[in-house]
Amino acid sequence: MSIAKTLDRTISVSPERAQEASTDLAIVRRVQEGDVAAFDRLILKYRERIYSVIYNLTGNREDTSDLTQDSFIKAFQSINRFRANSSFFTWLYRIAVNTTLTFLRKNKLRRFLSFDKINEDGESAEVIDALVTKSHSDRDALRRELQEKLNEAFQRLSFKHRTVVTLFEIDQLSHREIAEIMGCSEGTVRSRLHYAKQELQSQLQDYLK
Amino acid sequence: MVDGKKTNNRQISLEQLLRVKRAEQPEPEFWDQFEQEYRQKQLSALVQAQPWFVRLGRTIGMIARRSAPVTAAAAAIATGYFVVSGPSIVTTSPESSPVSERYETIAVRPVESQVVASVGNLPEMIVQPVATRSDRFEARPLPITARARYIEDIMAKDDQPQRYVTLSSPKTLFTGSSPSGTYVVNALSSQTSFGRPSSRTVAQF
Repeated sequence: MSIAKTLDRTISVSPERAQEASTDLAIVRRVQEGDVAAFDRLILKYRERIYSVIYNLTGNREDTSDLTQDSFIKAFQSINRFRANSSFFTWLYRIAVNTTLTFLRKNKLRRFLSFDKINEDGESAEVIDALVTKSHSDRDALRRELQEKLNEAFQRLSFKHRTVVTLFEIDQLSHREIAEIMGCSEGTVRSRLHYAKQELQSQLQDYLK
Repeated sequence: MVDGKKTNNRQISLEQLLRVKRAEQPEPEFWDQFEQEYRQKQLSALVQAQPWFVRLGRTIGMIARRSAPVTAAAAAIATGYFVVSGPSIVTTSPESSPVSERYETIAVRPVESQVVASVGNLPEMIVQPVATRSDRFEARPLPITARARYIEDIMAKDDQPQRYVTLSSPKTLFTGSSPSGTYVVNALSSQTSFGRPSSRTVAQF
């Protein structure tokens, strides 16, 4: 990702996101007026992203499946209370984050369950290739090891730090959007991001050399 | 490309490493099962029992809505009955209803030789014990509590009991004529009900 793009994310909400928000709002209005089937469009649109956020917060793919479904059910049940004070997706993310937090508080003793395979795109494949060349190890074994180490490092972070890193680095939301989701200031988001990255850096230094 | 150069030089940044996590997504087949499970959960959420406080609130609301006409009618009947019956049945508070309304007969005569105390500038008087209207309520007590305001009792000086009347609860009185001195009024209970009044007589000045 280019520096300019990262900088843009830190400053404001992109026009694409604004357009997306108005499309979502139109669908939400339809659901509120009784066209409940329209909610399926919102599920289709956001399920991967919500799943990804929850997966990175829990580190367990089975829990993630349940929590993603629960988040959509909660969103559907409360859709009449959505007043469009924020965009639909930040509202939905907030539900997902809060649902996950409640779950994690109740289930402190959990095991992590990563994916057996990953959908390697250009960027992630490049990173894995570089690591393989460096360590001269088996690609699959290294990929699995990296997945587990990343998962472990993530789970060592506090929930708030984990959420900020997930939303910024993985889901690529802006500081403002994260602040809206987490109910804090943008400054707090920046500060949490800084400390979380510092911690991750120290835990993953073997791969960063 | 900056990222590409870094990778070629085998220097991996934390941000690049985190992109591996972005690739962690379930297989496309997973979403079919997800949708099926979601539909089941959605249906069960619809029939799930709600928490007790939600149900209680709903029940109260329903009862209130259904009983509103009955309650309004009862209130109208009660109001009409009380208006027609007048103050002989309901005496709301002693402050709002004069003593003369609450008691049948008040007999007051000027003090001659027995009572020698007075309250401020009031004339010296003695009150005769009389039967009160409240005696009649003993037969049909009403579930209304009223506060007795005027109480008669004994005022003593130098161990000589003398009958006198005061307008309120126990207090110290200063006599206006001979024999001068301080008289203490021992009033009876100021709390009473229609069924059992505590005062025997009342004074009216």
